[in-house]
Amino acid sequence: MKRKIISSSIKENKHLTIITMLSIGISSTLIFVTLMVFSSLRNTLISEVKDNIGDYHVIVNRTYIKDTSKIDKIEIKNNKSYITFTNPSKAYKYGEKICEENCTYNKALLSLYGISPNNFLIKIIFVILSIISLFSFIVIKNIFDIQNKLNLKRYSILNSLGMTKGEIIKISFLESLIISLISVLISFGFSVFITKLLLNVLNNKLQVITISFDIYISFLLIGLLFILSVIICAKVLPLLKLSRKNLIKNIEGNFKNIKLKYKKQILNLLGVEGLMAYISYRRNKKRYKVITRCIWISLSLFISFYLIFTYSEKAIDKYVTKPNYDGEIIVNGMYDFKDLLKKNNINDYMSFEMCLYKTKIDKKSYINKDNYHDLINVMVVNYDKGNTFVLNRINENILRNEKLIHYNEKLFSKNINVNLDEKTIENIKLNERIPSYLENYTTSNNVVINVPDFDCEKSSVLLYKGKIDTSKIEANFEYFDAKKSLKIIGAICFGIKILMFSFMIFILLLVFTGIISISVSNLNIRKNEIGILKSFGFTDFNFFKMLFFESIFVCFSAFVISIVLIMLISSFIYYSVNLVMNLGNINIYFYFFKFLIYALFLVFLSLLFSFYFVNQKTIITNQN
Amino acid sequence: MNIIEIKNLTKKYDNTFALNNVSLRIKKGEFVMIVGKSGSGKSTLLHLLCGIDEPTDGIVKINNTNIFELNNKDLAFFRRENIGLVFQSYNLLPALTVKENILLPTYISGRKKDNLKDIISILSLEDKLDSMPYELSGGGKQRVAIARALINDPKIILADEPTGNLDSKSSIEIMEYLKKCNKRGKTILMVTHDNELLKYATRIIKIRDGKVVESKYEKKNNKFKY
Repeated sequence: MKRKIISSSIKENKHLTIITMLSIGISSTLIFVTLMVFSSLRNTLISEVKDNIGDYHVIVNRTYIKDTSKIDKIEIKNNKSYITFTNPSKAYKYGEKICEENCTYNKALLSLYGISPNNFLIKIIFVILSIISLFSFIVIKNIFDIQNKLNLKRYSILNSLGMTKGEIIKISFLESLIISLISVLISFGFSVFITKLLLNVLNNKLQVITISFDIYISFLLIGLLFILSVIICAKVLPLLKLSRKNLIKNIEGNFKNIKLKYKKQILNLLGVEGLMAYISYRRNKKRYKVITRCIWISLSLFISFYLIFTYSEKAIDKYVTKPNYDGEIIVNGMYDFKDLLKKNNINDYMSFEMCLYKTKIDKKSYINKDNYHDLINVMVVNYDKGNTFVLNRINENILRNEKLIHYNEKLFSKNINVNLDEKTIENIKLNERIPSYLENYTTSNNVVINVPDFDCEKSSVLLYKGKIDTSKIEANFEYFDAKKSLKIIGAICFGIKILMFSFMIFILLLVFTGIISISVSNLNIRKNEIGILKSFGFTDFNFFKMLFFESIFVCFSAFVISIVLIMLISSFIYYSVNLVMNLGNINIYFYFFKFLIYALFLVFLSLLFSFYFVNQKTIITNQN
Repeated sequence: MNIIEIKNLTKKYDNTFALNNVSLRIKKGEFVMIVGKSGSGKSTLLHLLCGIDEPTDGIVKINNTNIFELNNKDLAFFRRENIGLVFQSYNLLPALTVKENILLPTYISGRKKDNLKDIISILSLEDKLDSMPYELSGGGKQRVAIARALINDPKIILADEPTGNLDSKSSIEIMEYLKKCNKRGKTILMVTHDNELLKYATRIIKIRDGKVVESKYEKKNNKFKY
């Protein structure tokens, strides 16, 4: 009997069943893809770290280790022990016991295991997963709410015929479980496909590093656990509350008899469609409660994600400095590049002698005295006799007043000549990122300057645009391919953008299916009303208008609820992103309203799209 | 003059004929009672006559217009101008009050509500105007459904058992009102099970298994002649 009730319910609400499956599927896919991409990335990075740094967890400055019970492997190098523990998650705990003096931990590796205090990647993934889970939970809960509403009459009739509350909840639970299990299993397979596709695109673009696909069966369990908790919270618990209500009210429906003041005015102003929408909206606010909730949550989250996406995109574009030369060649000592340039037909170039002298200058004595940071590096190189050419003056970023400030002045476009006296050093304006060939010279707290009178290590530098046959240049030349480096940076940026864009698409799909499912269900509940209105001469256009007005009422109330929340979220996201990556002065309210228009358009589209579903029937089918 | 002309009208649900090749002509000003057993196709015929259901085959002409050749929009306009409908299951809009439900066709067509007072007085709905449909009894809902069908003063009234839920006194009052409407030139098609009401008809159509088996008219001395 129960089986018959469940299967008839699934078949009867075919549209809603499909849309519920879609929503659960998209939510699960979003979770699975995040987990799969993360685990693939994590495992690839772990192997990279193991290859480049080592697979040890801690280095102890002695060769004798007393307690080896928790140790998996010890390697002795240069009188130091490179220790790998059996359980990496307790590396710090075991390390403390072994280390008598200072130990060096393999923080890069341990952070990837998620146990370092700086496990940035894991924190980010945790935040993303939490947002996705919360969002999915709300969307699925809304759909289950509407399912409960649709089935309320049926459940009340079953209850009045003698079925117990427990039996009804069991039916409802099993019905949701069947739908959810099918969706989760399908979405797991789909997620494997999507993740592989994503990684393939990323690998093709990155080239320097190959992210290999990794999957764990525990992901499926996480997905199932999530869905199970959603079913219990969103389907079963509300049903407990609903089934306490008066049975006959549930069977016959419940409309409040509210006297409406402005009917005439609305009829004159908006026509019969506006009046019908107004009456329906005012007298049965409960009907619109779920869709209003869904819309304001969708609006807030959609705008939040869109803002994160836009700000990050802007930050990436601004943050990554693109060198405007194709290559660098550095030769120790004096060297004339004329022949090399001639052979390779290079006309666009810049060559200079470099003489580096490292000295420590009190941080407070340069740049704006109030704004300094540990990471400041200043570098000055000689260009011309008598003048000092300030080529690169700063490492990539300077944190000033805890804000990240980025200097992005092109190498070829603006050069500043300064004389190196004490006053000039104090007034140096920092520009440009440091070229790779000078990176080794800059260290924390050091100002790298060239003072010709001092003894220094001289070298010749060539920056050029074009192509040099690097196979023919001499072995003692240091060569840096800026073009290739730019390509790699571009690929990484592209990868990040692709990932974020994919997330946006999924979020969009989730919003879309959420709104459609709720409005389709609402219209399904109201199909009798549609049939009646049509039989009294309502045209399709009248319905379109009525739905349009209803959408306006719903969106307006959703907008009123969400405006404060969205303003807060927009500001929070802006200031958070700005703290890590300098966004400069952006009118956040411009973006706020821009995305609000997108979101409202999306809501309208969804509502009208759902109307299409319901409108494809004859009047008499609607009335039945 | 024929106001309704039905030719070979057929409605099939899977393998069952709800209506099977029905042909009929109804003149302007006729008061037609459609009788027959439950499931014989009476309501289906009424639904097809007002174009709220689609036939499997056949033609329905009202005022020489084949209603199934009209597009959705024109059909809706046609319905709001010409037809008043009373459903067996009332079909009142639950969000509207009694008064709003009655006035619904005037809101849609934009016509004046001249006869509102008359109708609510005949149907004894004066003190129920601000009630919600769920607050009414079955008979009360039926009165509202009838009032709604009559408010626009339509040329044709299609009523599916309009007195089915009313007591005999109310039934007579409503039938007298419908008779008045009929005398004013309205064409009425009414489905009924109540033999007592057949006296109001100018013609009786009997349907069995989706086919018209009898069509009595030319009433003399309160009896029908074949």
